[in-house]
Amino acid sequence: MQTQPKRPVIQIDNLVKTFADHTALQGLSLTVNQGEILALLGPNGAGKTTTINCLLGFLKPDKGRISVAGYSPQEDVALVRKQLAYIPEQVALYPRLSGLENLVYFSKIAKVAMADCDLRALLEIVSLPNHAIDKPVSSYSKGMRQKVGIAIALAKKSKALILDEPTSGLDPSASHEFSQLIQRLARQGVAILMATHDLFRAQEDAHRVAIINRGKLVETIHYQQLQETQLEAHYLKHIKVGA
Amino acid sequence: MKRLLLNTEFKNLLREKVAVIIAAFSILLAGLAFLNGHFFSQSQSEVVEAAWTSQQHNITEAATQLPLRLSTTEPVKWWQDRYDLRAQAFYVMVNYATKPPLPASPIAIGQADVLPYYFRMLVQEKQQVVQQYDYVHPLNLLLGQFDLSFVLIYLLPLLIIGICFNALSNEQHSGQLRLLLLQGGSAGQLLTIQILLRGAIVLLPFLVISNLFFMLFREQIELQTLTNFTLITLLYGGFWLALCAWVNSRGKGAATNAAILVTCWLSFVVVLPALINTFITHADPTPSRIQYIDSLRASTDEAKKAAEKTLAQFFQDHPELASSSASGSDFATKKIATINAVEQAMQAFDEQYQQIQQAQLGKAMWLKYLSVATLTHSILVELSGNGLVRHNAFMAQVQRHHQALQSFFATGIVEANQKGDFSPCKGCNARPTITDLSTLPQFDKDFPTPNVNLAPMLWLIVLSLLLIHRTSRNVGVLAAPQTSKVVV
Repeated sequence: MQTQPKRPVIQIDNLVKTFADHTALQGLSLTVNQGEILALLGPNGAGKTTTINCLLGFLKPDKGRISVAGYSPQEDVALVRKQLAYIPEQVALYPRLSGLENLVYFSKIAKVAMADCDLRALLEIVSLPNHAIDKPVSSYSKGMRQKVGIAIALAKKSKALILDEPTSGLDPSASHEFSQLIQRLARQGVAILMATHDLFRAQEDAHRVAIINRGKLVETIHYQQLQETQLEAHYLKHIKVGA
Repeated sequence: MKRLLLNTEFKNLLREKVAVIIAAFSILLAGLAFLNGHFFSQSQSEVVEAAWTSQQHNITEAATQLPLRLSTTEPVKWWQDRYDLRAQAFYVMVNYATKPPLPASPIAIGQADVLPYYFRMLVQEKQQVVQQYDYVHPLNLLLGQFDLSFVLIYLLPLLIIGICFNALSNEQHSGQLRLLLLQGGSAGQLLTIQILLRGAIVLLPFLVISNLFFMLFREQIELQTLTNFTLITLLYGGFWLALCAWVNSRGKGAATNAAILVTCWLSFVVVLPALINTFITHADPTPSRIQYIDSLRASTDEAKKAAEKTLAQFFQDHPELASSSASGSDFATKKIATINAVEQAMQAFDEQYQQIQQAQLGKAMWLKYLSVATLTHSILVELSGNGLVRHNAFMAQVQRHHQALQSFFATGIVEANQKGDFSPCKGCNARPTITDLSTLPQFDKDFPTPNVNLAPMLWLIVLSLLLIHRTSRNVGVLAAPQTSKVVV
């Protein structure tokens, strides 16, 4: 938590995205610095997932500019994806492969030059139980899958990590373990953007919290303020105003 | 990267067990289909062999028993006397025209179970020989028997659909594709590997077993035939794989893909061939068989009634057989003359049949391109030697043989009659007029058959390439940023 923010890795500037019948993003601007965890809070339909999809290069914004480690998904999506790791709410692994096999597969696709034994060690680092490493993922709990997801992200050594509701459905213990892992990544200098509904985790883990509603950034709360703020009250105030 | 994708896909399929089940099914189907075709073909070979053995045995036996016939003083009925040209011509001749099945016959039985493959020849109206079977439309009975072509055309596409319907779409809807793209992987490569590997699981066991069985059970099969069979299988299977790839690349769910693919299967394999058949049979209906038989009877009656006129016409048509002898009006000569007259009278009907068959074949030749199943089946049937091309060549040879026999006996009978061999004296037996049965015209089994034309398979290549082109475009779009909705 004490890591001081450095240069910006993720920059979103005046992002606009309109679908047929509604505007999902209305000039959203955000920055996530190196080693920083930014929690993106907002109600359902606020534009969190649209923002992430634009960042990952799966959606083309109508206006605005995105930059990830200096690359724009509008210009070279492959280069942007190289800089990013992504952990969704449900980490999509091959259920019939083991955790290690999934890690080896996705790491090799990303051209990660790590031996299988090092990747195994990575799974131990993320605290995946030893007995589970070689078992099929179909037998894993959600928390265990998230850990494999983190291991994939760790192996990739990306500059930015995007998390979409990563702790949703996790029990408090798994959620805590997960927090420790992403904080560890942040300490290694990874810029982390975490879209979440979990106010407690946001307050605990994030350096900054960005509250968005109806595609607009309504407030950014810094770490120092976070310690003194009733985040829930803040959040509800903005959401009610937005509604 | 390709190797990694291949290994992972293989592991996934293996652990799903469905791949093992489908491969086992493919082996089982290939084995059963081959054996069914092989046993059918073997039963035909045995009949053909028995006919030739019987013919050779008859020649040998006739040669052995000739001294006995020459020395007998007992009365011999001429119509039972194998040394009498008239008996040979009309009643006792053992002379066969046969179409032995080719070594490739188990590929496709086709209409070999309804078309004649051997004839016992006698001097009679050719209509009694060559027209005694109904023409069956070349595309009829496509379902046919359970042979390799049935498995390839009907069942393997279903196995391909069964194993390929969720390729890529499973990853797309479960989220692995998103992760793969974010890791720098290629959706196109993944789809290609998935389709090729899954296709191999279906096609390779089928090809290995069928080729192996051909080598074990049909030793005379040529390498060229096996190569052609393998090529046709790969092209037809390739088309279905390309279709699966295209459907999967459209980004719909696995259930939708399965529904689309099964509809395509129904259209190409069942509905279109049925429509083509219906169209052809209605556009060029085969003349009434009853009408034909009535005409044959009427012509025969007419020729018999006008016996003298028929005989005069016969000698006018065959002046080489006419002589000053007045004994040309015996039973045998009149019968031959009648046969000639009936054949001439029926010529118009025969030509009508042939024209209609040609018209049907002409339409079938083009309409088969509408259905990949019909196109492939038509080539497989010809490759097996059970198709209409070889059958028509056989029937043409049968007609030439029939003509040769008729001419041989007409000359011999008229000459023997003129020499008085049939009635040397009152109450005497006729003189033997044929002592060596090996002098009878023999059917030439090596009738010319045109080579199988594989060129129509190019159409499959064209269709597959078009589908691959569309697939590659669709897959390219998957990886790119979308304007309206997220597709991965």
